[in-house]
Amino acid sequence: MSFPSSTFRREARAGLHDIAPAAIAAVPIGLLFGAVAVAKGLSPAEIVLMSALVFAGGAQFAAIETWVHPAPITTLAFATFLINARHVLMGASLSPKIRLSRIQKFLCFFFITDESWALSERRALDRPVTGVYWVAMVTVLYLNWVVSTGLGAILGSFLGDPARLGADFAFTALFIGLIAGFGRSRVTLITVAVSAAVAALVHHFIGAPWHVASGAVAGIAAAYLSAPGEEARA
Amino acid sequence: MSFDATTILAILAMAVVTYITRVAGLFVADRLVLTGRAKAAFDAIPPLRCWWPSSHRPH
Repeated sequence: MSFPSSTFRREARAGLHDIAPAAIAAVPIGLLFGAVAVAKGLSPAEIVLMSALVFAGGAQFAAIETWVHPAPITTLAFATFLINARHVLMGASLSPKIRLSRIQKFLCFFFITDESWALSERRALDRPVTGVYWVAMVTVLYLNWVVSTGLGAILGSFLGDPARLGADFAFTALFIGLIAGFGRSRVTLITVAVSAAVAALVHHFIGAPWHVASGAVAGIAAAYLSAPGEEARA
Repeated sequence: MSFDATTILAILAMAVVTYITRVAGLFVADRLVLTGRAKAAFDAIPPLRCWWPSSHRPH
């Protein structure tokens, strides 16, 4: 990774420019995550550690939503895998488009998020994704997430239980909004319906945190079974 | 600063699993061709773009 200084500056500026909207949007989510995590019994230091080491908003939300003491390590790891399995495809797609050595990729891919991946894919449409561009983007996003969740944890300690303000429903609203954006295809509707039904049943009869993993597995199975096979496409 | 051992282990487990999913793409980059049902199943894995305002979502 060696650049003339003008190219370096241009790539860094482009990365910072592109990531700015996502970084700004992440601040209130980070604050909320920290506040809810404190209410679930995690200390601010543990919350910062989680954000620094995991750095995956979706998996962290799901973990906190189902967090109990003592933490169910296997269940949390399994749920994390299901939620983050999409990173495999993101990494596979991004790998040939980013100008980094193998070792640099192993380091830099720690910072793959939906946002950095999507922006890189877009940039790759008309030019190569440089390491400088990537590092500029993910540094902002990473520090932003760690700091905002930490601040949320500290502020949450003073505010008390977010449920009093109804803020705990923000997670649910977030996911409902996400599902609403999935589209209206037959496979999608079947997937969402089966996943929701199984998660609700498991939550009712067995309880948290198993409903998260059960719903995800049921949804994946439903998508597999309801999608047309290769012979149907031919 | 307070840490609970079980909580730390859970966080470490989440971190390791997440990192594995992130670098696994490097190994499958040249080998994976998803079509049909396998693609639908993979697409059903929750794409949690929960930080992203729709007005700024790249295409």
